[in-house]
Amino acid sequence: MMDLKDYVDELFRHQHLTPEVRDLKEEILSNMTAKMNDLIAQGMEADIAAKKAKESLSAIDCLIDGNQRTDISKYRLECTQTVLLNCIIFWIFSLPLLFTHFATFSYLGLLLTISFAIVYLLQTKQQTEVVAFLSVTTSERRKKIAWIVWGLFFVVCNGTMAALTFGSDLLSGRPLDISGPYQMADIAVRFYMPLLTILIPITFSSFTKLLLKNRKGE
Amino acid sequence: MSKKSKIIICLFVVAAILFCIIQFGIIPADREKQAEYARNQTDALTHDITGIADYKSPFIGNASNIGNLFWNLPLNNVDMKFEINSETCALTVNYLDTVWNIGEEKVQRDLIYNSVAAMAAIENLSGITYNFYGESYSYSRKQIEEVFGSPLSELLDQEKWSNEVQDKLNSADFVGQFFS
Repeated sequence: MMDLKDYVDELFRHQHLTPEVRDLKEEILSNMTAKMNDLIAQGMEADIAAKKAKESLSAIDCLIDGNQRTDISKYRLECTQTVLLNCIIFWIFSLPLLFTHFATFSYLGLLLTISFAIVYLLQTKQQTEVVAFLSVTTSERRKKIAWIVWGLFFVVCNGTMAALTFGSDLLSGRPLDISGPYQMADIAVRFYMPLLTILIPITFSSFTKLLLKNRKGE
Repeated sequence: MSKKSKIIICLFVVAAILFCIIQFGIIPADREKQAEYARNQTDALTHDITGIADYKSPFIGNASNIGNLFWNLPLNNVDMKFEINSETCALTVNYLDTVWNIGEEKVQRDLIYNSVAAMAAIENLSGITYNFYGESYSYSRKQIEEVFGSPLSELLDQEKWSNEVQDKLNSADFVGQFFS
Protein backbone atom coordinates (compact mmCIF):
# COMPACT_ATOMS: atom_id res chain seq x y z
CA MET A 1 0.00 0.00 0.00
CA MET A 2 2.81 2.41 0.93
CA ASP A 3 4.59 1.39 -2.24
CA LEU A 4 1.59 2.47 -4.34
CA LYS A 5 1.22 5.71 -2.39
CA ASP A 6 4.88 6.59 -3.03
CA TYR A 7 4.38 5.82 -6.71
CA VAL A 8 1.33 8.09 -6.96
CA ASP A 9 3.14 10.82 -5.00
CA GLU A 10 5.98 10.59 -7.52
CA LEU A 11 3.49 10.88 -10.41
CA PHE A 12 2.11 14.09 -8.93
CA ARG A 13 5.49 15.47 -7.84
CA HIS A 14 5.48 18.33 -10.39
CA GLN A 15 1.79 19.16 -10.11
CA HIS A 16 0.37 22.09 -8.21
CA LEU A 17 -1.99 20.46 -5.72
CA THR A 18 -5.27 22.27 -6.28
CA PRO A 19 -8.37 20.67 -4.65
CA GLU A 20 -9.25 19.10 -8.04
CA VAL A 21 -5.76 17.63 -8.49
CA ARG A 22 -5.81 16.33 -4.91
CA ASP A 23 -9.16 14.61 -5.59
CA LEU A 24 -7.74 13.08 -8.76
CA LYS A 25 -4.68 11.87 -6.85
CA GLU A 26 -6.83 10.18 -4.22
CA GLU A 27 -9.02 8.63 -6.88
CA ILE A 28 -6.02 7.21 -8.74
CA LEU A 29 -4.56 5.79 -5.53
CA SER A 30 -7.84 4.16 -4.58
CA ASN A 31 -8.28 2.70 -8.11
CA MET A 32 -4.74 1.31 -8.06
CA THR A 33 -5.23 -0.15 -4.60
CA ALA A 34 -8.51 -1.76 -5.73
CA LYS A 35 -6.81 -3.19 -8.81
CA MET A 36 -3.94 -4.57 -6.74
CA ASN A 37 -6.35 -6.16 -4.22
CA ASP A 38 -8.36 -7.62 -7.08
CA LEU A 39 -5.24 -9.21 -8.59
CA ILE A 40 -4.17 -10.56 -5.19
CA ALA A 41 -7.68 -12.03 -4.76
CA GLN A 42 -7.21 -13.79 -8.11
CA GLY A 43 -4.13 -15.50 -6.65
CA MET A 44 -1.34 -13.19 -7.81
CA GLU A 45 1.57 -12.45 -5.46
CA ALA A 46 1.44 -9.01 -3.78
CA ASP A 47 4.68 -7.70 -5.38
CA ILE A 48 3.61 -8.66 -8.89
CA ALA A 49 0.06 -7.32 -8.31
CA ALA A 50 1.50 -3.95 -7.19
CA LYS A 51 3.76 -3.86 -10.25
CA LYS A 52 0.80 -4.60 -12.55
CA ALA A 53 -1.28 -1.91 -10.85
CA LYS A 54 1.52 0.63 -11.36
CA GLU A 55 1.91 -0.31 -15.01
CA SER A 56 -1.76 0.53 -15.58
CA LEU A 57 -0.92 4.22 -15.18
CA SER A 58 2.54 5.54 -16.04
CA ALA A 59 1.72 9.25 -16.48
CA ILE A 60 -1.03 11.54 -15.26
CA ASP A 61 -0.41 14.66 -17.39
CA CYS A 62 -3.24 13.83 -19.79
CA LEU A 63 -5.68 13.43 -16.89
CA ILE A 64 -5.23 16.88 -15.43
CA ASP A 65 -7.53 19.67 -16.56
CA GLY A 66 -5.63 22.56 -18.12
CA ASN A 67 -2.80 20.42 -19.48
CA GLN A 68 -2.30 20.35 -23.21
CA ARG A 69 -0.11 18.41 -25.60
CA THR A 70 2.49 20.91 -26.75
CA ASP A 71 5.30 20.99 -29.28
CA ILE A 72 7.84 21.83 -26.58
CA SER A 73 10.86 22.54 -28.80
CA LYS A 74 8.87 24.98 -30.94
CA TYR A 75 7.27 26.54 -27.85
CA ARG A 76 10.66 27.07 -26.17
CA LEU A 77 12.16 28.52 -29.33
CA GLU A 78 9.29 30.98 -29.67
CA CYS A 79 9.60 31.90 -25.97
CA THR A 80 13.30 32.68 -26.44
CA GLN A 81 12.43 34.69 -29.55
CA THR A 82 9.88 36.68 -27.54
CA VAL A 83 12.38 37.30 -24.74
CA LEU A 84 14.90 38.47 -27.34
CA LEU A 85 12.34 40.82 -28.90
CA ASN A 86 11.45 42.27 -25.49
CA CYS A 87 15.15 42.66 -24.60
CA ILE A 88 15.66 44.71 -27.77
CA ILE A 89 12.60 46.84 -26.91
CA PHE A 90 14.01 47.33 -23.38
CA TRP A 91 17.36 48.28 -24.89
CA ILE A 92 15.78 50.84 -27.26
CA PHE A 93 13.69 52.43 -24.50
CA SER A 94 16.70 52.52 -22.16
CA LEU A 95 18.87 54.40 -24.68
CA PRO A 96 17.88 57.86 -23.30
CA LEU A 97 19.35 56.70 -19.97
CA LEU A 98 22.82 56.86 -21.59
CA PHE A 99 22.65 60.62 -21.01
CA THR A 100 22.02 60.16 -17.29
CA HIS A 101 23.70 58.56 -14.27
CA PHE A 102 21.71 55.40 -15.01
CA ALA A 103 23.52 54.45 -18.25
CA THR A 104 24.17 51.00 -16.72
CA PHE A 105 20.54 50.06 -17.50
CA SER A 106 21.14 50.67 -21.18
CA TYR A 107 24.34 48.58 -21.14
CA LEU A 108 22.31 45.88 -19.36
CA GLY A 109 19.79 46.02 -22.23
CA LEU A 110 22.62 45.53 -24.73
CA LEU A 111 24.07 42.63 -22.70
CA LEU A 112 20.68 40.90 -22.40
CA THR A 113 20.03 41.35 -26.13
CA ILE A 114 23.37 39.80 -27.08
CA SER A 115 22.93 36.94 -24.57
CA PHE A 116 19.43 36.00 -25.75
CA ALA A 117 20.43 36.39 -29.42
CA ILE A 118 23.16 33.78 -28.82
CA VAL A 119 20.73 31.49 -26.94
CA TYR A 120 18.16 31.85 -29.75
CA LEU A 121 20.69 31.07 -32.48
CA LEU A 122 21.89 28.00 -30.58
CA GLN A 123 18.29 26.82 -30.10
CA THR A 124 17.43 27.16 -33.80
CA LYS A 125 20.28 24.73 -34.59
CA GLN A 126 18.96 22.07 -32.20
CA GLN A 127 15.48 21.66 -33.62
CA THR A 128 14.07 18.23 -32.79
CA GLU A 129 10.34 17.83 -32.25
CA VAL A 130 9.51 16.98 -28.66
CA VAL A 131 5.87 16.71 -27.65
CA ALA A 132 4.78 16.71 -24.02
CA PHE A 133 2.02 17.94 -21.75
CA LEU A 134 2.36 21.49 -20.41
CA SER A 135 -0.03 23.16 -18.02
CA VAL A 136 -1.93 26.15 -19.38
CA THR A 137 -3.30 26.74 -15.87
CA THR A 138 0.22 27.04 -14.46
CA SER A 139 1.19 29.39 -17.25
CA GLU A 140 -1.90 31.54 -16.57
CA ARG A 141 -1.03 31.53 -12.86
CA ARG A 142 2.56 32.62 -13.56
CA LYS A 143 1.24 35.44 -15.76
CA LYS A 144 -1.11 36.59 -13.01
CA ILE A 145 1.65 36.47 -10.37
CA ALA A 146 4.02 38.37 -12.68
CA TRP A 147 1.46 41.18 -13.13
CA ILE A 148 0.68 41.33 -9.39
CA VAL A 149 4.39 41.42 -8.41
CA TRP A 150 5.14 44.02 -11.06
CA GLY A 151 2.12 46.12 -10.02
CA LEU A 152 3.25 46.10 -6.39
CA PHE A 153 6.85 46.84 -7.37
CA PHE A 154 5.75 49.76 -9.57
CA VAL A 155 3.44 51.27 -6.95
CA VAL A 156 6.01 50.91 -4.12
CA CYS A 157 8.89 52.15 -6.26
CA ASN A 158 7.14 55.19 -7.70
CA GLY A 159 5.29 55.90 -4.45
CA THR A 160 8.60 55.97 -2.55
CA MET A 161 10.16 58.10 -5.27
CA ALA A 162 7.25 60.55 -5.19
CA ALA A 163 7.43 60.75 -1.38
CA LEU A 164 11.20 61.37 -1.44
CA THR A 165 11.02 63.90 -4.27
CA PHE A 166 7.88 65.88 -3.45
CA GLY A 167 7.07 64.82 0.13
CA SER A 168 8.65 67.71 2.01
CA ASP A 169 7.15 70.31 -0.37
CA LEU A 170 3.67 68.74 -0.13
CA LEU A 171 3.78 68.37 3.67
CA SER A 172 4.88 71.95 4.23
CA GLY A 173 2.39 73.28 1.66
CA ARG A 174 5.09 74.76 -0.57
CA PRO A 175 4.71 74.72 -4.36
CA LEU A 176 6.75 71.97 -6.05
CA ASP A 177 10.33 73.14 -6.59
CA ILE A 178 11.47 72.12 -10.08
CA SER A 179 14.13 74.63 -11.00
CA GLY A 180 14.69 73.88 -14.66
CA PRO A 181 14.66 71.38 -17.53
CA TYR A 182 17.67 69.47 -16.14
CA GLN A 183 15.98 68.85 -12.79
CA MET A 184 12.71 68.04 -14.58
CA ALA A 185 14.51 65.42 -16.69
CA ASP A 186 16.26 64.05 -13.60
CA ILE A 187 12.91 63.54 -11.83
CA ALA A 188 11.27 62.08 -14.95
CA VAL A 189 14.08 59.50 -15.32
CA ARG A 190 13.52 58.24 -11.76
CA PHE A 191 9.87 57.52 -12.56
CA TYR A 192 10.64 56.21 -16.05
CA MET A 193 13.05 53.45 -15.00
CA PRO A 194 10.53 51.32 -13.01
CA LEU A 195 8.12 51.66 -15.96
CA LEU A 196 10.63 49.87 -18.21
CA THR A 197 10.24 46.71 -16.11
CA ILE A 198 6.68 46.35 -17.47
CA LEU A 199 8.31 44.23 -20.18
CA ILE A 200 8.68 41.42 -17.59
CA PRO A 201 4.93 40.74 -17.06
CA ILE A 202 4.35 41.38 -20.78
CA THR A 203 6.86 38.59 -21.52
CA PHE A 204 5.03 36.21 -19.14
CA SER A 205 1.73 37.05 -20.87
CA SER A 206 3.31 36.23 -24.23
CA PHE A 207 4.43 32.82 -22.89
CA THR A 208 0.79 31.90 -22.20
CA LYS A 209 -0.28 32.95 -25.70
CA LEU A 210 2.58 30.98 -27.22
CA LEU A 211 1.63 27.91 -25.20
CA LEU A 212 -1.89 27.98 -26.59
CA LYS A 213 -0.52 28.60 -30.08
CA ASN A 214 1.73 25.55 -29.89
CA ARG A 215 -1.05 23.10 -28.91
CA LYS A 216 -0.46 19.79 -30.59
CA GLY A 217 -3.49 17.71 -31.57
CA GLU A 218 -3.99 14.11 -30.24
CA MET B 1 12.08 33.81 -42.12
CA SER B 2 9.07 34.55 -39.90
CA LYS B 3 7.53 38.00 -39.55
CA LYS B 4 8.68 38.14 -35.92
CA SER B 5 12.29 37.40 -36.91
CA LYS B 6 12.18 40.24 -39.43
CA ILE B 7 10.84 42.61 -36.76
CA ILE B 8 13.64 41.48 -34.39
CA ILE B 9 16.33 42.11 -37.00
CA CYS B 10 14.89 45.56 -37.89
CA LEU B 11 14.61 46.60 -34.24
CA PHE B 12 18.11 45.30 -33.49
CA VAL B 13 19.57 47.32 -36.38
CA VAL B 14 17.69 50.45 -35.26
CA ALA B 15 18.82 49.96 -31.64
CA ALA B 16 22.44 49.33 -32.65
CA ILE B 17 22.52 52.45 -34.87
CA LEU B 18 20.95 54.64 -32.17
CA PHE B 19 23.30 53.20 -29.54
CA CYS B 20 26.38 53.92 -31.69
CA ILE B 21 25.21 57.45 -32.51
CA ILE B 22 24.61 58.24 -28.83
CA GLN B 23 27.56 56.35 -27.33
CA PHE B 24 30.23 57.25 -29.89
CA GLY B 25 28.86 60.52 -31.30
CA ILE B 26 26.64 62.61 -29.08
CA ILE B 27 28.09 61.72 -25.65
CA PRO B 28 31.80 62.30 -26.53
CA ALA B 29 30.86 65.59 -28.26
CA ASP B 30 28.85 66.62 -25.21
CA ARG B 31 31.72 65.72 -22.87
CA GLU B 32 34.16 67.69 -25.01
CA LYS B 33 31.79 70.67 -24.89
CA GLN B 34 31.54 70.40 -21.11
CA ALA B 35 35.33 70.10 -20.76
CA GLU B 36 35.78 73.16 -22.97
CA TYR B 37 33.21 75.08 -20.92
CA ALA B 38 35.01 74.06 -17.71
CA ARG B 39 38.35 75.18 -19.21
CA ASN B 40 36.80 78.49 -20.26
CA GLN B 41 35.45 78.99 -16.75
CA THR B 42 38.99 79.05 -15.35
CA ASP B 43 39.99 82.20 -17.25
CA ALA B 44 38.66 85.76 -17.01
CA LEU B 45 38.67 86.32 -20.78
CA THR B 46 36.50 83.29 -21.56
CA HIS B 47 34.44 82.96 -18.37
CA ASP B 48 30.63 82.83 -18.68
CA ILE B 49 29.27 85.16 -15.99
CA THR B 50 25.77 83.58 -16.08
CA GLY B 51 27.31 80.61 -14.24
CA ILE B 52 27.29 82.58 -10.97
CA ALA B 53 23.63 83.67 -11.18
CA ASP B 54 22.61 81.12 -8.51
CA TYR B 55 25.04 82.59 -5.97
CA LYS B 56 23.80 86.17 -5.92
CA SER B 57 23.11 87.24 -2.35
CA PRO B 58 22.53 90.50 -0.47
CA PHE B 59 24.73 89.34 2.44
CA ILE B 60 28.20 87.90 2.82
CA GLY B 61 27.36 85.66 5.82
CA ASN B 62 26.61 82.44 3.89
CA ALA B 63 29.98 80.61 3.76
CA SER B 64 28.76 77.87 1.46
CA ASN B 65 27.46 80.46 -1.02
CA ILE B 66 30.85 82.20 -0.99
CA GLY B 67 32.57 78.86 -1.64
CA ASN B 68 30.23 78.00 -4.52
CA LEU B 69 30.66 81.47 -6.00
CA PHE B 70 34.46 81.29 -6.07
CA TRP B 71 34.47 77.69 -7.33
CA ASN B 72 32.54 79.06 -10.32
CA LEU B 73 34.89 81.97 -11.01
CA PRO B 74 38.30 82.04 -12.73
CA LEU B 75 41.20 80.49 -10.77
CA ASN B 76 38.75 77.74 -9.69
CA ASN B 77 41.38 75.22 -10.74
CA VAL B 78 43.57 76.38 -7.80
CA ASP B 79 42.80 75.06 -4.31
CA MET B 80 41.53 77.78 -2.01
CA LYS B 81 40.24 78.49 1.49
CA PHE B 82 38.01 81.30 2.70
CA GLU B 83 37.85 83.55 5.75
CA ILE B 84 34.82 85.81 6.27
CA ASN B 85 34.96 88.80 8.56
CA SER B 86 31.29 89.41 9.31
CA GLU B 87 32.01 92.62 11.23
CA THR B 88 33.72 94.41 8.35
CA CYS B 89 31.91 92.34 5.66
CA ALA B 90 35.31 91.57 4.15
CA LEU B 91 36.45 88.34 2.58
CA THR B 92 39.89 86.71 2.45
CA VAL B 93 40.60 84.09 -0.19
CA ASN B 94 43.72 82.03 0.43
CA TYR B 95 44.92 80.38 -2.79
CA LEU B 96 47.17 77.41 -2.04
CA ASP B 97 49.68 78.15 -4.81
CA THR B 98 52.21 80.74 -5.90
CA VAL B 99 51.59 83.55 -8.39
CA TRP B 100 54.66 82.40 -10.30
CA ASN B 101 53.17 78.92 -10.78
CA ILE B 102 49.89 80.23 -12.18
CA GLY B 103 51.35 83.11 -14.19
CA GLU B 104 51.46 86.74 -13.02
CA GLU B 105 49.49 88.21 -15.93
CA LYS B 106 46.68 85.66 -15.58
CA VAL B 107 46.52 86.08 -11.79
CA GLN B 108 46.24 89.85 -12.05
CA ARG B 109 43.49 89.70 -14.69
CA ASP B 110 41.56 86.96 -12.89
CA LEU B 111 41.75 88.72 -9.51
CA ILE B 112 40.20 91.89 -10.92
CA TYR B 113 37.53 89.82 -12.66
CA ASN B 114 36.77 87.86 -9.49
CA SER B 115 36.63 91.01 -7.39
CA VAL B 116 34.11 92.70 -9.70
CA ALA B 117 32.04 89.50 -9.97
CA ALA B 118 32.01 88.84 -6.22
CA MET B 119 31.16 92.44 -5.32
CA ALA B 120 28.43 92.51 -7.97
CA ALA B 121 26.96 89.22 -6.71
CA ILE B 122 27.24 89.93 -2.97
CA GLU B 123 25.84 93.33 -2.23
CA ASN B 124 27.40 94.02 1.19
CA LEU B 125 30.88 92.66 0.39
CA SER B 126 33.16 95.57 1.34
CA GLY B 127 36.51 94.25 0.21
CA ILE B 128 38.53 91.19 -0.74
CA THR B 129 42.06 90.12 0.13
CA TYR B 130 43.71 87.43 -1.97
CA ASN B 131 46.64 85.58 -0.42
CA PHE B 132 49.03 83.43 -2.41
CA TYR B 133 52.21 81.86 -1.08
CA GLY B 134 54.46 84.92 -0.75
CA GLU B 135 52.06 87.44 -2.33
CA SER B 136 48.94 89.29 -1.24
CA TYR B 137 46.49 91.62 -3.00
CA SER B 138 43.58 93.64 -1.57
CA TYR B 139 40.70 95.45 -3.26
CA SER B 140 37.98 97.52 -1.66
CA ARG B 141 34.50 98.01 -3.10
CA LYS B 142 35.22 101.71 -3.44
CA GLN B 143 38.34 101.05 -5.51
CA ILE B 144 36.47 98.69 -7.84
CA GLU B 145 33.43 100.98 -8.17
CA GLU B 146 35.66 103.92 -9.12
CA VAL B 147 36.74 102.02 -12.22
CA PHE B 148 33.65 99.97 -13.13
CA GLY B 149 30.88 102.27 -11.88
CA SER B 150 28.14 101.84 -9.34
CA PRO B 151 26.09 99.80 -8.59
CA LEU B 152 28.22 96.83 -9.61
CA SER B 153 25.22 94.48 -9.56
CA GLU B 154 23.97 96.08 -12.79
CA LEU B 155 27.03 94.72 -14.60
CA LEU B 156 25.82 91.12 -14.20
CA ASP B 157 23.87 91.22 -17.47
CA GLN B 158 25.86 89.07 -19.91
CA GLU B 159 26.23 91.65 -22.68
CA LYS B 160 27.03 94.49 -20.31
CA TRP B 161 29.50 92.28 -18.46
CA SER B 162 31.23 91.34 -21.68
CA ASN B 163 31.51 94.95 -22.86
CA GLU B 164 32.31 96.71 -19.61
CA VAL B 165 34.39 94.13 -17.75
CA GLN B 166 35.64 91.22 -19.85
CA ASP B 167 36.75 93.22 -22.92
CA LYS B 168 38.55 95.80 -20.80
CA LEU B 169 40.55 93.06 -19.06
CA ASN B 170 42.13 92.25 -22.43
CA SER B 171 44.23 95.38 -22.00
CA ALA B 172 47.36 94.96 -19.90
CA ASP B 173 47.35 98.71 -19.17
CA PHE B 174 43.82 98.55 -17.81
CA VAL B 175 44.71 95.65 -15.51
CA GLY B 176 48.01 97.29 -14.57
CA GLN B 177 46.26 100.29 -12.95
CA PHE B 178 45.19 98.00 -10.07
CA PHE B 179 48.73 96.82 -9.44
CA SER B 180 50.75 100.00 -9.79
